[in-house]
Amino acid sequence: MKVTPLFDIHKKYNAKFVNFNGWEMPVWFEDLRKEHLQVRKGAGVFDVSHMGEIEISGKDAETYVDYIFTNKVSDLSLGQARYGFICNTHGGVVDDIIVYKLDFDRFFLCVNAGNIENVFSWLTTNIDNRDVSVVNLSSFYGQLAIQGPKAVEYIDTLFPDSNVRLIKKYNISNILELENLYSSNLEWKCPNNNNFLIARTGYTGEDGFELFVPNEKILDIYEQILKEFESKIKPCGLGSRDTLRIEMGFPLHGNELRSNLTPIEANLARFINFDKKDFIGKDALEKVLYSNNSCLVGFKMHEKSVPRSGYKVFSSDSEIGFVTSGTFSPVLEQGVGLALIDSEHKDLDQISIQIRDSYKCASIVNYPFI
Amino acid sequence: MSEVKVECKYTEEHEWISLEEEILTIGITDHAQESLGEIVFIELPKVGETFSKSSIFGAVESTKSVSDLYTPVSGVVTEVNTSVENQPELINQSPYNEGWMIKIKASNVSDLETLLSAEEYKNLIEE
Repeated sequence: MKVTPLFDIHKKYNAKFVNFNGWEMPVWFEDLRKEHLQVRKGAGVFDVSHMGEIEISGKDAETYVDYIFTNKVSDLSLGQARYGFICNTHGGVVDDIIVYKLDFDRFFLCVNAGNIENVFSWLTTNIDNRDVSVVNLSSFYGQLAIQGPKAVEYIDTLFPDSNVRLIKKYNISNILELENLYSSNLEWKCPNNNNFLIARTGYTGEDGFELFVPNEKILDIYEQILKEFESKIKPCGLGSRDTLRIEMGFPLHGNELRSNLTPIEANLARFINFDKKDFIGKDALEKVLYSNNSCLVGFKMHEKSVPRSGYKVFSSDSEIGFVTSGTFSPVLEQGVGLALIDSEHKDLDQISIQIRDSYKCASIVNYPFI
Repeated sequence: MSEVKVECKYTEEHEWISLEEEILTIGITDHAQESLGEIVFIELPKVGETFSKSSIFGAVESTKSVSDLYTPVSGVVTEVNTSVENQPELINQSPYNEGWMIKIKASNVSDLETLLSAEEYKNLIEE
């Protein structure tokens, strides 16, 4: 199994590990619930170095990204980012990604760990005769997500010259302190020297940053953060990352997003820009706009019980869908989840979830759940 | 290091069993509660229900995952710990005492021979 450069220090902090897409990653350190609430109320740091980074550059980079991405990038200002999907020709989701505009001819893509090879080969095979180069930087960059309402204050004291407070949501910038400290002795440098990047993005619903830094320096940076902010920024595992994103109703590729399901059915049409002249999947997606068979809904359990992905969803006696993600919300202290159901049932108020041998009542609700 | 009580018997599914004549008290081990994390919900059978050996008698839900509970022997449920149904955190806090789950009257004494000793269970979790 693959490990990140932080594997040994995670062990030192008593991490429990889990296999996530071939990576041995911390699922929690001491207590999943405490880590969850730490991020909701203070700040936590996640090692997300398993995530992938791909750069698309060249004269045709902008038109190419607009062609392979459902959202629009040509109107982004420098340093701005946008969330969206890489779709196949049927409108199914190859991956959900964030595209950062680093320069007029250079785009930085953050992709899911399990999809790095798929996305990279998708991006190289669709180039045709465009003047672009696609580089997989996933083994160069490690990634730290520092999330929570206090994250900005702490990171601002850590990097006082980088003006991180001024980085707008969904924007990316360079970390000057780290660039000055480390870049002269980096063994391997990133093209164009964007070695140390900080983005005001995340997957928890809280304010915070994602740091893209070289794997060869990430341990030093991680140790510095834990040392300077002992008990203020706590190590968190993928377990709380999952419960945090479920409380927000954020999708996960493999659960809500699949290669045989469109983002429209996953209730994410707002990240598709149909004004663009052409992009892969556009025709298929336009058809689904008018006749989709299934739709994603949020639900809350009535009794104390925990929905899990794969559980069947019923309306009276008929099976109408399945749970894509579910958990026990640490904030609400209640079972919550997302389910994919036949779209004819989307206006139901009540459904039931089959949990082992019994059927538990749930209400369909809007999400974010908190 | 998780606690393993010498006076108990164990199963490979991380349950402990304490014997008092033909009545077995069953719970999950310290190791099991540690790897599950905070337990938020537990599903237990009713008094009088009968089970054959190695069948599912309930489930433990933690924030992270769900684990089925298996009967170590065939028998009938004589008592259920309603306190853990209302306060599942007792299983985390005191897996061998207040966190006990059910009592079963064994219908076949030879079932007990397949249980692990404390030593054998210790080796299992240290692997």
